[in-house]
Amino acid sequence: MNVLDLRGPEFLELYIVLLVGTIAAAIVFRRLLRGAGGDPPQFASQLDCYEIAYLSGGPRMAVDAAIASLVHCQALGLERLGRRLRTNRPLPESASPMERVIYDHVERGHANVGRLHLMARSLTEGLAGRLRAADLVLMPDRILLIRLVPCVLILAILALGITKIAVGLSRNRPVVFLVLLCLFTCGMAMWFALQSAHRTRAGDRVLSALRDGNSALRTTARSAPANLGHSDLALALALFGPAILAGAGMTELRRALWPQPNGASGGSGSGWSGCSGGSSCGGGSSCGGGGCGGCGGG
Amino acid sequence: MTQTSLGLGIGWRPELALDIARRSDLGFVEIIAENIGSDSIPEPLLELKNRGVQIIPHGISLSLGGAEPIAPDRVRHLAELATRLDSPLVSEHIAFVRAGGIEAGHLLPLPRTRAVIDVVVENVRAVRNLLPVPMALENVAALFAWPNGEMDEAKFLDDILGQTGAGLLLDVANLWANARNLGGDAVELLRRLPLDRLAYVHVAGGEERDGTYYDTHAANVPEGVLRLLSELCARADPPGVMLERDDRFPGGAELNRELDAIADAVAKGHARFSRAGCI
Repeated sequence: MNVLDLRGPEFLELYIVLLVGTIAAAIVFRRLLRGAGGDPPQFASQLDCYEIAYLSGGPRMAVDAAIASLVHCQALGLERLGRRLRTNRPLPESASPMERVIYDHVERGHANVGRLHLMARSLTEGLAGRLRAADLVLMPDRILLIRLVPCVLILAILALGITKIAVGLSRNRPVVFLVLLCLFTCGMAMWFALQSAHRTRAGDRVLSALRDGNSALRTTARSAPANLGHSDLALALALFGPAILAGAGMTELRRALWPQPNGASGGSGSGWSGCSGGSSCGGGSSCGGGGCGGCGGG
Repeated sequence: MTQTSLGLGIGWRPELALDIARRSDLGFVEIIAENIGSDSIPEPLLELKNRGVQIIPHGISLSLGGAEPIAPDRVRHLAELATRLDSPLVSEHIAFVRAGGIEAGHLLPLPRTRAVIDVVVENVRAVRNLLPVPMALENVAALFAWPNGEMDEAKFLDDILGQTGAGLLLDVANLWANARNLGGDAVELLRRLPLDRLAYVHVAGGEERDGTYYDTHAANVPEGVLRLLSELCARADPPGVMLERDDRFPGGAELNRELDAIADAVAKGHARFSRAGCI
């Protein structure tokens, strides 16, 4: 029997079963492609703050952390009321590769923060390599699969629903419930397509452990970010997101990096996800945030 | 009261949480009790506690010198914090902060009279009955002295501590500030204080404006305060000495220099103390 010839209630039952099954399959598929969980690898403590930033929020977060660090230590300055950067003083020898990349681009005239954001993926290729090799972030093709496959599966269900709506309308049957279900299906497809998924599950564990182990950094970053050393600021930004720049003395930097009205609370578009809280492995930055190079001082 | 060995300490503030967590030689931190909920203790404090750092709740609003009864909920809060943090003691000021329904917003000095001592003693006894741990009382900084005082600060503190059994939280910066603003010899005062009741010591910086020294806790500790700390440690062995910093927070390196300077001042005093055969 053709499913399109099923009576309304029977088709709705079938549609719901198919939709729930497909969503469950999509979740399992995402989970499988993001790898196994398990304990955080030992080398988590050796990641530098820009690798952590990449792990946390992808290329843009790594670029933002480096800009924040360089501005905070005054190697770079911000043009007043703008998003343009300028070099203030020479970059010390001890600067990290990521800081050097950003500084060199600003020096060569790529001084607009927005432009650096657009170039983020290429600027951070070096960071991504190590994280991918450690199986903490996903390969680009896998990210595409994770986003597209669940979306396509759900869209197939949607296509079935839309076809049945057309059949129902041609037979003068009521289709209100099916239209509502199709709208929900469409929303689910979009949700899966837009879900950020650049980390593996092992990467999630590492990031969670790093956040748990840096509660003192979080506390100080929230109350007095301007008091942090530049590499601590970069690490705080990496771990706890742009909300830490809501504190006093950080207004210009926050406006430059997140100019949107809702930017201060952390943009989900950057792949940022809130911190997990919790506790555990000692104070300070003992669970990671190895050297981030240096503008001197700190 | 039984003295608990505390070592080097600092007033825990969120702005300093990271530098405090990184300093491995701290034996204790003091928290402002009114700023910390007993059911929402900041994670870094719990981590310090797990590391073996002792945590002392420090009250600023009991108004032990006030004529009004002490609010039981304020005492209960201190007690809850002490219990949750396994604190060896709690502390408060010998001062009043409210009267006639008006909150002063400052720790105001008390008239040094026998009648006031009676009030303080009654209040302290009432508070101690509700506390699970011992209590230490702190001398405050004063920009003025009430008229018709019947005794000096040493006698005033000695009588209160003697009658209540409380420990002495000696703020050497306050002693130094009072001597500077109101006259008197802080070292001489040290000699007559009940140092056998010493629970721990506060050290802080301040600034001078228009000839008056303000104990703001917003600047580095002046040399004079460090010298007075050494004088104290040449006469007694304080169980703990801590830095108070409440504003214009320094970076990590500067904060460490401040703590090192305090540790040096203590060591210098102790060297004199041990030469005198007291340790």
